This record gives sequence, structure tokens and C-alpha cells, in this order.
Amino acid sequence: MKKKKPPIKAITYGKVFRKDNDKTHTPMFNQLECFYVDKNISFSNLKYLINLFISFFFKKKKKIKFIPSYFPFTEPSAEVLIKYKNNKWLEILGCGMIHPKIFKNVNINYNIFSGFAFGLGIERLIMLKYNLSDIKIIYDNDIKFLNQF
Amino acid sequence: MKFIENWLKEYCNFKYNIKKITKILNFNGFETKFYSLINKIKKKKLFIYKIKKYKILKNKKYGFFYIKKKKIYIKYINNLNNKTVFFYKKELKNNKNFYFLLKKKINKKKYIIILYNNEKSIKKITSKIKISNILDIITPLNRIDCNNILGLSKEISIITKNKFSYPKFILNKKKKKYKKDFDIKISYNIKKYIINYNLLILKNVIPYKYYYINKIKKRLKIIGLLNKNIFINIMKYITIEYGQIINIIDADLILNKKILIYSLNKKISLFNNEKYFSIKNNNIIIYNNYDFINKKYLPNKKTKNILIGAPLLTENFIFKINKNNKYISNFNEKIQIKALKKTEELINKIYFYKKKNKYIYNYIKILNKNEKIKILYKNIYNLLGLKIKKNIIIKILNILEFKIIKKNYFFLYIKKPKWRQDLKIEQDIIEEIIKIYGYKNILCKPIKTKILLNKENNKNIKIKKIKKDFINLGYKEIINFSFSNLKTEKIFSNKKKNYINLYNPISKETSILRTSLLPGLFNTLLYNIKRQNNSIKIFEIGKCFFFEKNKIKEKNIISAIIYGYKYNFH
Repeated sequence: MKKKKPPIKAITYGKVFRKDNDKTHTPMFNQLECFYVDKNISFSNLKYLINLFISFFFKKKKKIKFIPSYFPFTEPSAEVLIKYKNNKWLEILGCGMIHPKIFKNVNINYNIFSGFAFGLGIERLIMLKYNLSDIKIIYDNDIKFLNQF
Repeated sequence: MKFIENWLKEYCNFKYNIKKITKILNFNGFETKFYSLINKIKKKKLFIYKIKKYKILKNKKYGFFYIKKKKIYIKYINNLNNKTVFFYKKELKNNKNFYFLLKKKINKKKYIIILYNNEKSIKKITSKIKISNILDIITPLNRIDCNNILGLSKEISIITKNKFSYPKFILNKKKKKYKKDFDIKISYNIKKYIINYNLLILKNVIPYKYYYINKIKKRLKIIGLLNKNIFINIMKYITIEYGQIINIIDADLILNKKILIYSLNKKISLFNNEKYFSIKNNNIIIYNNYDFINKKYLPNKKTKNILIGAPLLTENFIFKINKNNKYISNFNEKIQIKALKKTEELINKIYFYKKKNKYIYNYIKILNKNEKIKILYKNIYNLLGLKIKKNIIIKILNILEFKIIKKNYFFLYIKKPKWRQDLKIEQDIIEEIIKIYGYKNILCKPIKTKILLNKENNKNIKIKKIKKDFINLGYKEIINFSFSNLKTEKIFSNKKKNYINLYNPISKETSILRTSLLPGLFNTLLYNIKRQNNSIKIFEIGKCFFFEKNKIKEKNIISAIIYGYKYNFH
């Protein structure tokens, strides 16, 4: 955002770390981050893109839900939940409209431009797609498990 | 942070059960779990009797039961949620030997009982009696105001559209002049930390009921914050309920002494205009990082004058000390006074004093700047892509207790409520509006503009090519955690001590960032050999981390392993 002028569309991925370890969390995981800055970008565009991405990734319609959340870089912020086993909801990604302070810091006029951003854990999506009950199986590196893909 | 369900219900009488409340809070950005605490009744305290005769009254809610020639008036209930159900009437007729568990004595004649038709079922049930539901909540970082009972029940009432009522206290607005023996000057150096400091001095107190207040004791025990000292418990109780720090001090002990507010590494004098003091000089600490007050100055049975203090802290200061005590979260002057009054009410249960001897003082009154925020209707549409009717927007703002100062066709001028210090810009308010209006009402709109993505990074393309080559040769790609431990690093690291230690590792086994991919590959190899895989071809491409020339360096490294009999590979 510092180097280029809007419209900007970017996607990136990498390993991230956190102090969390249970059936649905690992201390290291791969995260995908995306943002889009242009004129007339609104939350409804973000909702459209996420719906499109989820139906493309799972290759079928999935029930998803947007709930309020807090992230320091977005305002308004939301979390997306997806329905999985036993009708339970599981968080898959965090998203929101880019905070005006970020635009200020990179000298973009936020009265003209707006943008959205979202980030998701790749392992969590794999877990849901292949009905894995424990996310850690991905890092066990069992050849029999890996041969399935 | 733990909150008891019944405690929350004192302010907002929501009809939902604990499951539903957990669900509601989870769907509104609060990470919430709940559990029920099981009452451990000692067997000695159980009274199990045989009923010889019984007679149920016409209203079917009460009955007479004859036990050991005694006639007892009983309200009978059959399940654990205190709901009165009457299907036991038939069973009473059929079973002559009927057992019941005496659960609670209301008065000499009235008992609440649980009826069961055999002794075994009583034993099973007694081990499962639920006494209270507890919510374990992690509030969003910007919603510190919900870190107390009052704030959280208010938020629940807004979400569930239930009525919320503040605790009622009669406020004595008349300020009395303080006498010479309590004449205290307060330094203005502490403006950064304190907005105001309200004091209540109770003179000539006589202890007449020096006992624990049961309700406080029970609730703090459930949350796990019970202290031996009753005054520390009262202070904790008020902080949990109102988010307000409270000081209860033996007033005679602080005469001619300086009171400090102690936070993090800085010490600030509160009652004196002099330099900063050290703790060694026998000064009193109003708040330190771990405790509410220095125990030396707490009242006791011999205390004659009691000082109750309530500082209203600035937003920045609350954010700082909130890391140590998450319940401190009050931004509101009215709540500050209410907390002070509630403390007095509790102290009144321990000490007796005449109303004449109550003095209220107020120090450093700096009013909170509550700035106006302008909201353009146009901007709501631009940000959300959704047209919300103006009257609905105003309705939502009223629910959230915003004051509308000015409104016209294009914009609104509003003032936020004092406890919502997190709201600073227009976008914050729009977020609050959509939270109530519902994200589900936002329609999906395709993006009209078309721009192409830049070309992929050359480095990534090369890595992808290498991966493809390995896969074509029959290798399986694996991913291991980037963590390692000291033992393996010493074996695999080329140079001495070029590894990076983690500050807060999950375990000792994962306390270092890896400098080689080989340990992970070997572990995978062993794991698969144990599972009877005789031919293994695996590779990993990943980052390794080094500490070289006082700098942290990341390098992409490729490693592979082949294992097995010769004839298995081509």
C-alpha cells in the first residue's frame, strides 16, 4: 500500500505462530491474507467475495455466518463461522473494512478510497473440507494419510 | 474472567438459559464458555428420612409430611432447577416408603425438599446437584467496559433487548466541609492517572456484627478469589460488580501520612503536592500490581474511623492496569459514586455509625471530555453497501444510549455514553449500528472494478518448480513445526549457539526455532517406520532461523530423506 496507488489487490500467505494448542488450534499454521482497495468498496463486496471463495473451495454451498468481532486493523470487523459436524459453528476467518488510520499512514485518502481485508488459516479449511476431527493429523506426516491427496 | 449467572441476573433479568446466553455472547465477539459448579455436600449434612404419612394441600404446592412423629410443612420439588412439578402425587400413593432429601431449611417449619422413591437415586442425585452456572468470558480487547458484572449485564440487555436497571442508591449530593483532622491536599501531578477521587469517611464506628457476609463469601469462592480478610473481599466484590477500585482504610492510620498510587514502575503521590515517594517511607499504597491495598491499613475490630475511597481512573491508566486485574473497568462517574455507596452499605453490616458522622469529599474534579461525533448517512451506505432507514439508525443509537445532539437530512451529531471510551471515530459508530442491525442483513454485491493481480514472485515460482520435481520423483511433501529443542539443536546445529530462544514457548520441547529441517524429517521417518512403512521418500521445503551477527536471519532450506529396500525404488 505504501508503494502503489489504488486500486490495489493483494494476496499473500506464510507461516504464523501463536501460543495455542488443541484439537482446532496448532502453535504454527499457514495463513492466507488478502486485501482490496478501490473506490466504492463496501462490506457487501467483502461478503460477496467470501461467499464466492467458500463455495469455490468446498465445491458446494456451505452455511456461513458473519458475527461481530474486533481486530485493530479493521472497522467494522467480523468473523466468519461455518457449520460443521453436529450443527456446530466453527470460526474460519477474520475480516473487515480497512481502518482509516491505516489509510492515513500510507497516505491514501480514505474519503475517496475504501477497502476490505481478510485472513484465514489454511489448515482449518483443510480440516473442514476433509472432515478431520483433529487438526494435528496434518502435522503428523503419516505417509498413509499423505497418500490420499 | 468468571461471572456467576445469578449475579448477572440481578441487573438484567434475561429469560434465556446459560446455554443460550453463551451462544448469544459468542455470536457477538465474546469468547464464552460455561460450566456448572457441582455442590459437594458432605454425607454428614444429609438428612434422609422415611415418610410415614403425608397430606398434600389443595394448592398442590405444599404438603404435610409426618416424619418421626413430627409434622413438617413442606414445599416439594422434584428436579434440580427449582421448578415445582406435581407428577409425584401418584408415586406417593403407590410407594409407602418414600425417601426425600432435605435440601434447604427456609424457617422452622418450611423446607425445600427433593423427592425420590428410593435411596439409591438420592445418592446418585446428591453427587450431581448444580448450584451455580459460571460464564468464563474473554471480552474483545476494545470492550474493557464489559469486564464487570454491571457492564456485561448491560451489554447482554442491549443484545437481547431486555430491560436493564441500574442499582438504586440514594445519593447525598450535599458536600460537607471536611474537618481539620482529615484535611488532605491532592497533587495535580496525577491528572494522567486519576480524573477524580471520592472519599467517604465514617466516624466513630462501633463493630457490632463482625462476621462474613455470606453472599460475598459464596460468590468469591465460586470465582476463586476468596481472601481471608473481609475488607479485601468487599473491595474485590465491588470491583467485580462495578469495575471500580475501592479502598477501605483505617482512617486513623493514615493521618499525617502520604498516600500513593502505585502503578507499573512509577509511583505517584496522591494526597500531597511534594515529590514522588518511595514505598519504604511508610506510605500507603492505594493500588499495586497484585493487591488492592497494603494490608497494614485495613480496618479491624478496634478501628474508630473508616475511610472509603474510590478513584475514577483515566482511560489510559485503566488499559495499563487492566492487564493485572481485568475486572478494573469503570469509566463512569455515576457508577463510581454507586460503588462507593454500595461499599458503605456493606460496611454498615459490620460497623454501626450515626448518619451524622458520615462525610463525603470529592477531590480533583476534571470532567471527561465527551466529544461530539459526526455521522453522515452517506458514509453508512458507503461503508456497508446497505441502506438503513434513518429512523432505524436513530432507534439503534437510542438503544446504545447515544445522545443525539443535532440531526438533519444528511448527518447526525451524537455524544457517546461515558463507558464506551473505545468509540472514537465515525466508523466505530457504524460498526455498533451494524452489530445491532445484523450482518446477515447486508446483501452480497459483486465487485465492479477489474484489476489484474501482479505476477507471482520469482522466488515462489522457483520453489513451486522444485516441489513439482520432487513429487514427480515420487517424494511426499511434509510440513513440520518450526520449533525445536536444545537437545536436538546441539546435535544438528553446525555452529554453536546460533539458535533463537522463544520467550513464551508452549513446552520445553518447542522452546527453540529450528536451524535445520533434518530433525523433523528424522522424526517423521521414525513415526512412519513404526507404522510399518518400509519404503519412505519424503522432502520438506521450509524456513530455518539463525542468529548471526546480532541479527535474526531466515533461510529457505530443502531437505529430503530416502529410506527402504533397494528394490522398492526405481
